[in-house]
Amino acid sequence: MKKTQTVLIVEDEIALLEVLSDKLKNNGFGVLIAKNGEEGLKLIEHQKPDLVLLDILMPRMDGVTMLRHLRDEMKNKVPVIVLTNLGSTDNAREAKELGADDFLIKADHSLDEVVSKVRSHLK
Amino acid sequence: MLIRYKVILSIVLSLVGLAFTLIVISGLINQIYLATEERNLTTNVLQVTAELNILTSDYLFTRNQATLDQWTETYNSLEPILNRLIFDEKEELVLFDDLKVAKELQKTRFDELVMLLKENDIKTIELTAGVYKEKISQLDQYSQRLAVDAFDLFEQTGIEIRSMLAQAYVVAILAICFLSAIIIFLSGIFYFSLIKPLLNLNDKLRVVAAGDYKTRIDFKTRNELGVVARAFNHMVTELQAQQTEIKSKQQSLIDNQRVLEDQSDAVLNILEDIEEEKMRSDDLAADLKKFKLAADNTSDQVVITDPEGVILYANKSLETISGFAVEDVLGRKVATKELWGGLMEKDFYTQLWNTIKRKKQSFTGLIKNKRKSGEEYYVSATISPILDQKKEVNFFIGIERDVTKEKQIDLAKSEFVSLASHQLRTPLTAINWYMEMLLSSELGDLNSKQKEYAQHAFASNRRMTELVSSLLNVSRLELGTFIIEPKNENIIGIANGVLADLQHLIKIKRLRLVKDYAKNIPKQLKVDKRLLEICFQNLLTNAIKYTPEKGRITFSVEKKNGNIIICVSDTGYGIPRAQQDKIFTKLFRADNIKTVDPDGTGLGLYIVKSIMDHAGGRIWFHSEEKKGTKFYLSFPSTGMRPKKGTKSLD
Repeated sequence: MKKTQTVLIVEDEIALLEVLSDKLKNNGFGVLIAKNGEEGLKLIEHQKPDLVLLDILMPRMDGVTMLRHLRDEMKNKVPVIVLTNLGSTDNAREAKELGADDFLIKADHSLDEVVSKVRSHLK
Repeated sequence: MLIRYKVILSIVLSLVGLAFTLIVISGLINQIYLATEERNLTTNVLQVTAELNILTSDYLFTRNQATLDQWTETYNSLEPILNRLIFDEKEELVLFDDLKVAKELQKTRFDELVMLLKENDIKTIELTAGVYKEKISQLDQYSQRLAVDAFDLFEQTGIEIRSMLAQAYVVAILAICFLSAIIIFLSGIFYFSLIKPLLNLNDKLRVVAAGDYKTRIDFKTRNELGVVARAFNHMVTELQAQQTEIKSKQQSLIDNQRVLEDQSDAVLNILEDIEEEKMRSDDLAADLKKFKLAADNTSDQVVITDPEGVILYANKSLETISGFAVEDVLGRKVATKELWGGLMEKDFYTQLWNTIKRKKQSFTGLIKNKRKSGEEYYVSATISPILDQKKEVNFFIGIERDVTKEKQIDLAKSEFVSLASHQLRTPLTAINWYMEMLLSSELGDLNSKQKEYAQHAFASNRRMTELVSSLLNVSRLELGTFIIEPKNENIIGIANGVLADLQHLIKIKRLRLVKDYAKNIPKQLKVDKRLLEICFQNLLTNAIKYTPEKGRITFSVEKKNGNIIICVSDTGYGIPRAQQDKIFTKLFRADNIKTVDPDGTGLGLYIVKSIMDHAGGRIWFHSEEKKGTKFYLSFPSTGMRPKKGTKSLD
């Protein structure tokens, strides 16, 4: 049997966090949870998740800052899917430039779609 | 040949003829004179011979010594006469020689007779009468012969003279004929070379004098008259040119006169008008005062410029709105960086001037300016060209209302919508995802009623999410913050992607979808994929929603006159004619589809139109109620127009 793959969800909205983690678990992923960027970085450092689902607007450290740290300072190349409701081009471009692997608008995608994106980036 | 050469030749010829005639005739006269002289001499010879005969008879009868001497003397006088006779003709020479021989013989016979008489006395003579008689008869014979010869000579010279006279006559006639010919020839020369051309010249001069300057003398000769003819032709040409000039001057004089008459008429009219005008001018002055007061004191900024944009008038509100004093801006170019302008993009100003100056239409729009203090402000501006009778721009009049406050409120509204949309989305996403979880069997099956309710909730939430996305897009369109980033894309691929997403809706309504892609569509077109998707999505969703079951939807793309034209046509409900002009208005929905689908937002076409307007494209439609609608999108095949901004549309 294949080793369980772990997804780190960095998201401050508890309602979203809960349903997303349930969905991923139901689909056979291990799930790690962080409520802001700082926590996210620590978890990446210590738990080494296979993929990160990253929100943008968060207290303490937002997603863009966290991504910059991750890529520029930690030189970590873990796949990152930015998952946000901010549909602005600036955010998307910035995230792409910083090395995000995908950019999804939450409201426009179903959970099934999010899971299939996660799968496609883990292959 | 020049006439003078002809005349000289004629004179030389006649002189030669005359000299020849004179020489011939003088020669003849000389010969006639000589012949006459000979005739006289021969006459003398005849007389002398007659005398000698008489003297011979006398001597024979008298035997007188004196008579003998006289005979000898007479005989001797014959010698000089004969010596004077000179003959050149053969016949005459023979006669002459005969004459001389006859003379000698006569002398010899006479001398013999004298001797005979001297030696003998009378008796002896009787004896010798026979000899004597013979001698006398011989003498007679010879004297007779002499006379005959002289007479023959006389006759001969007469014949000679007559023939010479005849020759002289012929020569004279020939000379007269020759001179006559010369005279006729000269007359001919004078007539054909001189008189006829002169008469012709005279005729032409009369024609010219009568005013016909087109006439020319057609002389081909190179003689003196040819020179005259060329001079004549030259003169007539000059005259013609002068005449033409005179005529044109005359015409311009007439025109001037007419203009002067018109002007004097006009002056008279003006004078009349002035009378009337005077009556009206007081009223007008009062009106003008009112208008000036109104313009001066209105709260809108009023600026009047010349066609080049140099400020001629500005009212007091300029100071309140822009902060510049009226006297500082007069004579300066309007809306430059130095004054209150220059904040908008270059394209905007180009379009503005194009509209008012080239198209000569009014321009209305929102313009960002800056006050003298540097503070930015917004005006709602209407700039209109004032045209003269020739449809040329006389002035521009710009009326600007400070809408900064309104704009700020708008901005706040849009920002609010933007933020609210984002904030609304998060709970909507949560509901969406939870409903999705419930409806999936991951957490266990719901009973049928629960499932039905959950589906309703899920669908409603889905619509809510879409509405929020649309509102967000509208706010971005209105804020002007959205970006257009054209890249090389395959437009057919984009269309097929959108159609695939909508396939299940088409299936549910059992519609027939017809795709019609022209072959000349470029594989790569510079378009903003996301914006095009939004446009296709909206038009197709409308077509699907507003077409009854089993209808037909056609999606076509073609390239025509350098434009890419997309057409979405349906066999649906159509747009009522009376409402067609409002179809692109924000939140507007046609009456006939409100009952078919109560949930539409009225934002779709507004968004599509805004996108096409900003991207340099066009949207239009043809629709007939209960028959169907055809929506057309077009943009240049060179691609969409890029636009700077910060946000993309969702």
